[in-house]
Amino acid sequence: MKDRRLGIRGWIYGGKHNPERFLYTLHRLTGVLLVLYLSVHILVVGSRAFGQEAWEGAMRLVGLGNPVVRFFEYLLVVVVLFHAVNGARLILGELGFTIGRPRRPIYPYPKESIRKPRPLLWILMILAAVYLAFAAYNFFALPA
Amino acid sequence: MSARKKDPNTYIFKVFRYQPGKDEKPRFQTYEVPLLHPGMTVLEGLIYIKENLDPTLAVRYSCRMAVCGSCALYVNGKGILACHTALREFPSGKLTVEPMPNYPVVKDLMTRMDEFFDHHRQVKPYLLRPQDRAEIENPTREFLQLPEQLEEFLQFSYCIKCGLCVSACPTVATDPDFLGPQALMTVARYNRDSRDGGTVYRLKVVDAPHGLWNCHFAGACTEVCPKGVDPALAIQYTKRESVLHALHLNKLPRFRKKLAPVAPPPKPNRRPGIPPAPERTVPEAPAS
Amino acid sequence: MREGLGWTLHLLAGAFLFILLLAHVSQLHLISFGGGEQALEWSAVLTRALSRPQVIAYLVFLAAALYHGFFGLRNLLIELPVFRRRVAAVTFTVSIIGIVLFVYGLYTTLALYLQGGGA
Ligand code: HEM
Ligand code: SF4
Ligand code: FES
Repeated sequence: MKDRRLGIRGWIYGGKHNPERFLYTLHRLTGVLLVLYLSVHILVVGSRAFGQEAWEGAMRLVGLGNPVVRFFEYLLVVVVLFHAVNGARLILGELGFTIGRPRRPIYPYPKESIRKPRPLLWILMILAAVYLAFAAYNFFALPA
Repeated sequence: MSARKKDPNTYIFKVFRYQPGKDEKPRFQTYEVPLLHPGMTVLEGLIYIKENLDPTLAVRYSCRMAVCGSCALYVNGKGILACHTALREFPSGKLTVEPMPNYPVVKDLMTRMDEFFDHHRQVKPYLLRPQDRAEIENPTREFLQLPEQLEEFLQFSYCIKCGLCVSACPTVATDPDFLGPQALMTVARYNRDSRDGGTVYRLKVVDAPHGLWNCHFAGACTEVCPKGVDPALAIQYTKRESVLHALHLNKLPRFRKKLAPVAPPPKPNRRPGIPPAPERTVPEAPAS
Repeated sequence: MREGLGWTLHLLAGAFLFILLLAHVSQLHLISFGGGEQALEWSAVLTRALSRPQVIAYLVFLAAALYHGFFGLRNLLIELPVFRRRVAAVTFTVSIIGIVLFVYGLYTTLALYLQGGGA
């Protein structure tokens, strides 16, 4: 008997389903990236306890002032914004807000739990995009 | 392959074929199926193949009217009930028919459902009333429930156990121990029922690793469910309940569940003042 | 109801982080709000490290982010085929890493604050 279990491949594609299923994967990806960043970040920033020399050494080590590093720093902000905005939707939904109430399943089915939060997600995504545009201006247009 | 089918009344079925133990690996076999009548379904197409083209094709079905949940499979990447999907929903005329992913294949389009039903049983899918066990074991009368109390869970009771939601779930894709959307949805089906008093027992089962909280609200279960059950809705409500229990807020009057009472015994005597029935005019029918 | 409590805290920490993290990103990465390289000058670092509200915010943030991040990581790991039958080991390992990072973060933050306060 062959188990056609999709494995991690199934996080990326498991059939023609709703867009929220991709957000599941993106949320995981960004979550893991943030954990990795946070760990390194705590170690790097901890150098300040060992005096100015250590701090400036650490800043040189991570490449402060390097435009490539600056670009990755911006990507980090994008990751944070996505995770925060999608996380806000998840927190509300998982606590039973924004997802509607049980209804008689009359065709075409309302599918409320995924459809109802969509406008909220759009609004949040637009706010995040505005923030990110402002951040891009800060990162790449303003003199450092 | 040609971009369009030759004839608008012919449908090309590309069917997943695999017999574990016999075939080394799965392959796809192509059949041409005529549209026998305008409302012809995918299942009818498969039965046509079985009866006219290839009797070795295995497909499971029973009710052929979206009630038994036997015929779930994937066509062109979409989870459907074969008996509930018309061929004309596929204007390209091409159908790639596969068994549901994330299940073991018995043969061809048939998937093995043991694990699915095992998970369903784990959440105690029946009324629990530890508060008055005597009534549950030797029922005397019905429980009283208002129509609005019925609406609280009715949607979730439409499930036909087809297993499509489980096949669509990304957590199931990596974790076979995960209870899956159907079982987790069933928790809300019973916990939200005013006749049921087993909330803490079911929460004990699902509030564990591979349980409730391994749902991350991807919503694919709701998207795919052919009966409009909305499992994701049910599961998020159970999460809310789990949070309330974790913070002991379920004891607040606002969140406390009131058990539906047993119906009062029928009045033994008629209301006073009603005159007795008149004498019979026709003889009583002889007892057969 | 062990998982439920853990998740309740995870969600609460997430809601908390929503505010703290956006404030943190704005404060330190956006030049308009005094962030960017100017914020990473030693003098700016020292000013923040010696301000009591800033230090309190750092520590709350540290705890919330580590708890949220590592509990989330644990939940992801226990769904993978390799770890799904090793839940206790995953929880243990992940907690140790989280606690070590917390203690290091706590030490580095407090050491500077108390030194500066004493001097
Ligand atoms: C900006 C504020 C944040 C919010 C609103 C937020 C929200 C959430 C929520 C609601 C979840 C649970 C989703 C689910 O049901 O699985 C989650 C998961 C997660 N978060 Fe966050 N989060 C935030 C910041 C962070 C940070 C800073 C980190 C890293 C340290 C992080 C790491 C993770 C990880 C690793 C997961 C688990 C991912 C998964 O299992 O799919 N989050 N976040
Ligand atoms: S919830 Fe819907 S998709 Fe899942 S088993 Fe029941 S009927 Fe099928
Ligand atoms: S055959 Fe019963 S649901 Fe399709």
